[in-house]
Amino acid sequence: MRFKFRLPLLEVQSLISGYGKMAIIQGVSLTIEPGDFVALVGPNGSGKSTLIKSIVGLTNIFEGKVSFQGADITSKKPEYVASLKLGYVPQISNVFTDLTVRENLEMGGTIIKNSSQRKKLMDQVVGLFPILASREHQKAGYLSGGERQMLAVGRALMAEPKLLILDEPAAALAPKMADQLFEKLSEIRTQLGVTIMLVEQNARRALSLSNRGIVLIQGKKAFEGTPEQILKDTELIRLFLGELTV
Amino acid sequence: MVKSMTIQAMVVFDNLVPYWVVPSIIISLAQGSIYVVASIGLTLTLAVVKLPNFAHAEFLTVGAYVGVIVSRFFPNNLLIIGSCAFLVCSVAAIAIHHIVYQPLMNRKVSIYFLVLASFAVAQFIRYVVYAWASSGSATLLVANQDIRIYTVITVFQVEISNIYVLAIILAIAVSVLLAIFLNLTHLGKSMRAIANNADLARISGINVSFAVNIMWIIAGGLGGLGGVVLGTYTSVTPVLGFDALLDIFAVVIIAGLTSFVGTIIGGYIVGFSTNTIIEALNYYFGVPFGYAPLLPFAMIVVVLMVRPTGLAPNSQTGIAWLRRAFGKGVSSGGTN
Ligand SMILES: Nc1ncnc2c1ncn2[C@@H]1O[C@H](COP(=O)(O)OP(=O)(O)OP(=O)(O)O)[C@@H](O)[C@H]1O
Ligand SMILES: [Mg+2]
Repeated sequence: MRFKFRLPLLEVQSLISGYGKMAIIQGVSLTIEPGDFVALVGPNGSGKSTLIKSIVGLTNIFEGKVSFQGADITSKKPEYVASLKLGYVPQISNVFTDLTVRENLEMGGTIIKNSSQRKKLMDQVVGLFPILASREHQKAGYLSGGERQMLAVGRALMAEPKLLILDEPAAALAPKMADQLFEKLSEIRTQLGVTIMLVEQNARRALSLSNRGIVLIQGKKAFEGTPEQILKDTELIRLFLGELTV
Repeated sequence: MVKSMTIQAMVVFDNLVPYWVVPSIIISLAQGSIYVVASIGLTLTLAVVKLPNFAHAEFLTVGAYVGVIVSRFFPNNLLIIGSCAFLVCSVAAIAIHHIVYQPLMNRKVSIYFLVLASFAVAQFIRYVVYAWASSGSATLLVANQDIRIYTVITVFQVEISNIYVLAIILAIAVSVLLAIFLNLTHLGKSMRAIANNADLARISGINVSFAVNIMWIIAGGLGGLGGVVLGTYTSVTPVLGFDALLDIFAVVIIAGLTSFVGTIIGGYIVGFSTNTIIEALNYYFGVPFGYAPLLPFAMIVVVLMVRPTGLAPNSQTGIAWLRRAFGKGVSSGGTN
């Protein structure tokens, strides 16, 4: 008889991490299951970006453990984490401004060694974001805000990620652009089968897309549950007021 | 008929253009070419690891001495001499990176320490070369590479020797090959990606330490090649590179520190300024030739004051980066 264990895709256990010697994340645990769309919300400065950077290997981890698909990635180099197909779209500086759009996508596909596979992925990304095809030879630094975010997502998709973590991809976008981008994210989840963790200022919007929400306040997980639970909780809403649009 | 026209043209030419101009332009081109080869590795270093490596000039010295030794066994064989100089300096560059710079960068020290460390490395290499060259029976403190110099063509009664042609061809070849590498190969594009945004490069799965090793191979190797070519013009001494240090930094500062096209243009600007321009200043205004070495100095100051980004197209790169780095410490910045 064979037991089938279903590992969580991502598991963070009692994580304490930060910059230099300063701890920003203060004992956070969370799991992400395959197929999830998790919204990570919380006020400015609550440590959302720091938590994500800790997962991908860009901060100092003092205590706790991070594993991805069963592999220990605690304090591993970002390039190693990327090679395990964990995609990450940073909040800022998320494209290579001096490289062309096409080169940005090629860099995103670095871990894909098979060139026909890389070409297939390129076609897929361009199919998802047709605007990138028409800007192919333009430097990413000259793209509009919306185009730039699409390229940032496209770059991450080039590595065929199992999990895609996006840090406020719509922060600087006009509402219409933001809606378009979120539509694409839903498409990426349903059609490409990519598990998604999304950090977003607009909690209502993020929670409307997700099946689970995590609220981070002052480096600690304040709440975790279904979007309905979070939106119903008047105490949480009170905590967010002034910080977030709920 | 045709012949008399040529003679006529030449007479007109002689009247219009002073006798020194053509040879001077050729020397400027050759010297500019040497600057290009000698500086472009430093530009690469600045772009990829953000290090103003003052030890870069020592690669020239080491390369030239490798030329001296190897040319004794393979006289005039430029291919073997050049390859050996490239190889030795590549190895030296990688060794220096792993012994000195990488451990410091791992400790996230500020860029001041890295600059000072590169000074120390430069000094160390210079004195090792000095000690080695002055030991033994036949001193090598002033040595020459065994490379024959002969006239290849004569243009407007000016004889052009093989080493001028060599320098110019080498600069073109190096520039073209580097452009192909950086723009058309995945590894080359990765290097530009690292130069642009190192954190994002890592996140994209680019093997940064591998790319940095390759970068040092190219930077050190080209420094060595530059040394061989420089050593065909002058005697090889332990201060060959040190004497060129300022010119090399003038070139990369004019280039805005990280621009490759800028480095090529900068190389010729410095090449012309230390030859044709000073000769013109002397011919028309009586400026003494002794001022020639001041021109790169003056250019550094003027560029830093007037256009600190040099020939670089935007302020994202180069000196603007260094300013931020000096304000902040080199490795604390990154992706939010
Ligand atoms: N590179 C850094 N070095 C030191 N401290 C930092 C660094 N980046 C962020 N911090 C600090 O860590 C804390 C959490 O910041 P973080 O960027 O993770 O918050 P956030 O929840 O992503 O906020 P926002 O919604 O504004 O993006 C803040 O107090 C911030 O000042
Ligand atoms: Mg953030």
